[in-house]
Amino acid sequence: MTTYILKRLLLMPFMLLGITLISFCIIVLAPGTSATNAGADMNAERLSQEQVQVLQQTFHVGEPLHLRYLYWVGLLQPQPYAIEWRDWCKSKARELADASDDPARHAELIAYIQALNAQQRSAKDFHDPGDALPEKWAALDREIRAQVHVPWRGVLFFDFGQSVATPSLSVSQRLLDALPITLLLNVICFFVIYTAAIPLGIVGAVKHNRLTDRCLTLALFVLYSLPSFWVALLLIKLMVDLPEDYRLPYVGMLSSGAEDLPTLAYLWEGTKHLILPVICLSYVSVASLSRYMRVGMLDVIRADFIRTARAKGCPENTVIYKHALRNSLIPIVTLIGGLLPSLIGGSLLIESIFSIPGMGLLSYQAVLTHDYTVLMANITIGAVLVMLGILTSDLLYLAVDPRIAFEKGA
Amino acid sequence: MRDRPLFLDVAPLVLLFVAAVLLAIIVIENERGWRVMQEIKKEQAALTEQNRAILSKLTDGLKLQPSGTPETPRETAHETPEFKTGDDLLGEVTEGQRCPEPNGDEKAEDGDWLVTAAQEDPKSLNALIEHAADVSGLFYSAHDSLCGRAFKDLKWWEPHLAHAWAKALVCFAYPKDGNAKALADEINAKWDAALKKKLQIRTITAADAEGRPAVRIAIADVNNDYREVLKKDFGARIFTQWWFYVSFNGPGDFMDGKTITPDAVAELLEAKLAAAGVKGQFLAPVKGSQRVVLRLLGDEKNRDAVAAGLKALEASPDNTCKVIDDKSASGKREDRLLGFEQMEDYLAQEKPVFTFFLRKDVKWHDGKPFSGKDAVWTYNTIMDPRILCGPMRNYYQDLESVALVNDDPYTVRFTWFKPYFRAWSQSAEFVPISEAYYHYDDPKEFNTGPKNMNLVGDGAWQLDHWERQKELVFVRNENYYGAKPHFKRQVVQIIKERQVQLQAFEEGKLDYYNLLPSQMKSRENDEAFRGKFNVNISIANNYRYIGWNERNPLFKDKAVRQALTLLVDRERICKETMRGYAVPQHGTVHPDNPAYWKDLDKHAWPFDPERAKKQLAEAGWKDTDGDGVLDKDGVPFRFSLIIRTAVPEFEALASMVKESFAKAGIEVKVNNLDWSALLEKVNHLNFDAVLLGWQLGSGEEDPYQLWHSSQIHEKEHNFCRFVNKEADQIIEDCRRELNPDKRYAKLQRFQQIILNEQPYTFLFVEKRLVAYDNRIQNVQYRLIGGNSDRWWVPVARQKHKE
Repeated sequence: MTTYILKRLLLMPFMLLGITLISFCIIVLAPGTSATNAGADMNAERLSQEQVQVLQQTFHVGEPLHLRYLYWVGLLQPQPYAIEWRDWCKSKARELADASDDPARHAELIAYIQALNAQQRSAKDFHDPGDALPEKWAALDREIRAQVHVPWRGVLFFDFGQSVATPSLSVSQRLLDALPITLLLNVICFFVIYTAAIPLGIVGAVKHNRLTDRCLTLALFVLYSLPSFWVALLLIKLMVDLPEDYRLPYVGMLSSGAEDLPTLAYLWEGTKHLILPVICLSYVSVASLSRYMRVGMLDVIRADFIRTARAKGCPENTVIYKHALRNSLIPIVTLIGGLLPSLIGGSLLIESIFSIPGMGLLSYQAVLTHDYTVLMANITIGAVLVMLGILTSDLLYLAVDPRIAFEKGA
Repeated sequence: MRDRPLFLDVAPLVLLFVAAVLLAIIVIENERGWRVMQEIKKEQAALTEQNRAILSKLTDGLKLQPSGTPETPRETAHETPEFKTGDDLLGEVTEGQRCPEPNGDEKAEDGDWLVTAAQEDPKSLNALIEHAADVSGLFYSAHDSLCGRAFKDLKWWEPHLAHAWAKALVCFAYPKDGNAKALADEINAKWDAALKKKLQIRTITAADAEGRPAVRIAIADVNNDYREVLKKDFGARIFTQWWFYVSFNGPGDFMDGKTITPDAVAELLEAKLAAAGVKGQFLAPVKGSQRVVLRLLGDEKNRDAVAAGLKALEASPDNTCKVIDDKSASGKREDRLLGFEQMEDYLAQEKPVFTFFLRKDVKWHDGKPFSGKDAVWTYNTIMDPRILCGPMRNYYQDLESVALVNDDPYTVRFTWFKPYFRAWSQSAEFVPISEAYYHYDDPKEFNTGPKNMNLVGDGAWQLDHWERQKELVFVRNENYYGAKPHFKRQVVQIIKERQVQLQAFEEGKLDYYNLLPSQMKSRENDEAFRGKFNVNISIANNYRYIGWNERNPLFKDKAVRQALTLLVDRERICKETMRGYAVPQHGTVHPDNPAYWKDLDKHAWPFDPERAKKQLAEAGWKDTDGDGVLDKDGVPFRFSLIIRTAVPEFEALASMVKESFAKAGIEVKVNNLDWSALLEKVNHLNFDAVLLGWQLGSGEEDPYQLWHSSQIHEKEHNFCRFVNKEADQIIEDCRRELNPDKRYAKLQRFQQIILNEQPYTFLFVEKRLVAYDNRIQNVQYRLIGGNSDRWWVPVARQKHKE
């Protein structure tokens, strides 16, 4: 068993490398322009050499594609940027000054920081501002530089770089802003889907081929075939037509000014904003999942041990909920693994219709603005989650059904 | 199942109970904390109110003091400047006046909020860096320019940060014998006072310009009437200056691996010309970020040699370099290096000079005072090649300097290095930003630093807060020196989908909305809609067209392009696809622009398929093989038209054009592309025909970028390859002609050429379809946009009361 899991886990990095390499090439070479490419809007001037130098620092523009990929992965490390060196040296010197008890040393370090501050304006070189320092600081500068810990760049070190479209923010920052929102929304959806789908599936199976089942099947198929973006727009239209007191909000996660509401009202406000997106995100899955549940349940109900249970005089409820239900949950439980990536990935259409700043909207905007760093981060995270999800569902099979084994002799 | 312990049955219930109790405690605690916060907030508000009262008492006291009172800024703001230093570039100082036409808000009441929506967050709030159209309007209201066009009258310049200004022209002529003093004396003697007055000449002196003796002529206005007189009287004794404009590609490397810089290009040019045996006196080359100007003094033989040398250089196979290209696997791509754009001749180098006298009572939003030093710093920042403000730098590339006059922080002088008719408007509309807030050591800090998440301006609107992906809130700047807007607050909600924006607007959550033609058509006469909202329809400042790429042999013949225009029924397009909310357009100048040729409509190409067919047949296009498609020399008339995807109006338009062309035997394949893919095709000149539009500026357009023959390369705007010698000459002349009437006369001829050549099939000017909540009063729209700062709401109908 352990060998099996280890084998799967060891394969993952290679698969990930393949996935990211292909997506990196496709995204970077796709037609259309990004902020790094001059001419993104019709009035743009060509970039000057100095601007290119700035962009080369952050996005490695003008380098061959394979090098850019290696920079992105973190197998190649870029030269640190002048301002970064200065900041690191300054904070290191400040740290040393705070730690030292020797007043002479302290004064020297403070003077060094001031020298760095004074030297900033004339620093022309992009790589090494230390050379512009007065001679007498050279020794101290070398000493401090030796102690500075230069951070590792690249995905290997959990650094996704700067966002191309909003260079003031790092990709990690943007992901961290979006992630909790999508997570909240999808965890709620997850509960809604399972709590609705399981009973519906049971009803369908128990009343098999009777009117209830037929109506339910029809209704679920209708639901399944409605496109969710269209339903979302219809719901919004409906809200506008409703009298004011019954309307549900459809823009964003909270109305402005909600921060000043009392706690309960605040929670209610948040809940109201969630209702419409949750409906749109979950109804399709409810329809499909309840089908799985119904089929699973039907298989079990026809099994011999159920007939035995009935024969021995068990009450019908016990038969269904105790004997049949537990055994028919197997396919449903294993589907949880497949839901993992969608929990994080978010929905592109629904999030953009309801202006919910989650992962889906982030990816959508990243596609439109050719923000390759953000896109790559999303793809990497998505790929990892899909792989983990598949592994989880395989393992769940193993856990819930002792008849399945992945290894010889198990 | 009796053997199961009781505990396990109860455990979930117990857990649930504990959780409920915990939740209740959290809610109650939170509630208490919230109450305390509210009280603190109230106290804070009361304290601020008290402080304000004390402060106003204090300042009142100060004003009452009879002696030793520090001058309050407001009194000195309008003091007329006096310059005793004999500055001959001041000309007539104009004290700025507000346009006398009433704004319509004389009875306005203050208060209420204006809530609008945008599709996307701005990328940054730095006015030099961000250019996104969706929110850029807000930057204009958060920052002020030196002067601005009056809303009611575009020709009228209103004072903003500058309360007065003076225009002048300073010219440098180089005498052939090098004796500037003698020539200046002679000119002074020959031209009498009356002539000088007519030409508005202030002084004629000998001066040293760029290390050479020169005659300096100072003129009290941007008036170049002196040119002809000088040429007639002294032309023979003065060097003609020949200016050669050479553009270069980049960013990238020369073939030998050295990086392309303006200095390197200038060196290369000098070396090549010297190698070609060109001799002559050159002034120092002028180096810009995309071009180098060589300036030759002297005779026509040398001029021809230089021009021939540059042309040979442009045509030579060595004229290549490696430019940076994201889309190629190696990161670089081979492309042409140099382009010889044009040549100009001057008798004297003319430099327009504008002096602005700034108000002394202007404060940045953070309370720091504004002065001319900020303007100078802003100019230096725009010119810093490391700063990512390309489009803006492009506008100011002929601006030689911005400097204080006599170190007076409230007098700023803009000097342009060549005559350009837009020099004045571009100087006047210059927007300074705060040095104290934005100063940087490292360009990265300015380009992408965290300061760009905030905004410090000097305009009527001040940033309150910006919550990404949710809203951008501006409050009225209560310390604003000019006329304050009437709304207290302006909220921009970020709503991604236009459809959802419309729903929010109809529900009353947004105060105004730009409708699409189809949306407007169904609402314009809808009583329920009109009961809640007012509608304002005005002509927009843009036009749409189909551009024919003349690189494609199909479109080379102008008779064919004319025939294609004859096949497009513009009236029907306006009526059907644009639902009547558009006006047919026939030329490159907007009908409301003063340069518009008034008779253009009469001479415009009508919709006439028969005539088109005849004209095509005359040009050799006949259906010889009977497949329903015209052909010539075995080539069928078949091309693809690229349009922007997801705009229903364009799709309808394209299919209408396709149908009409099909009837004449021309097969069109319509290609839907998303915006950036379409731009890439156009930028790389890789298309047959394209449906596009131009958004026009507030002033007179400069046709150079769109129609000059030097602008036909990749990423330049003459992507249809319109090349016409006469048009080139007119464009070049117009750029340096400072007299508007003479310029309009030349532009009229230019419009005739465009009409005859039909490089585009011009389609229509759209209308701006605005619907707004009917509690808002005084909504007016003109060519340049709306007067939203003058909108107001009667107190009784105000929605948001603070």
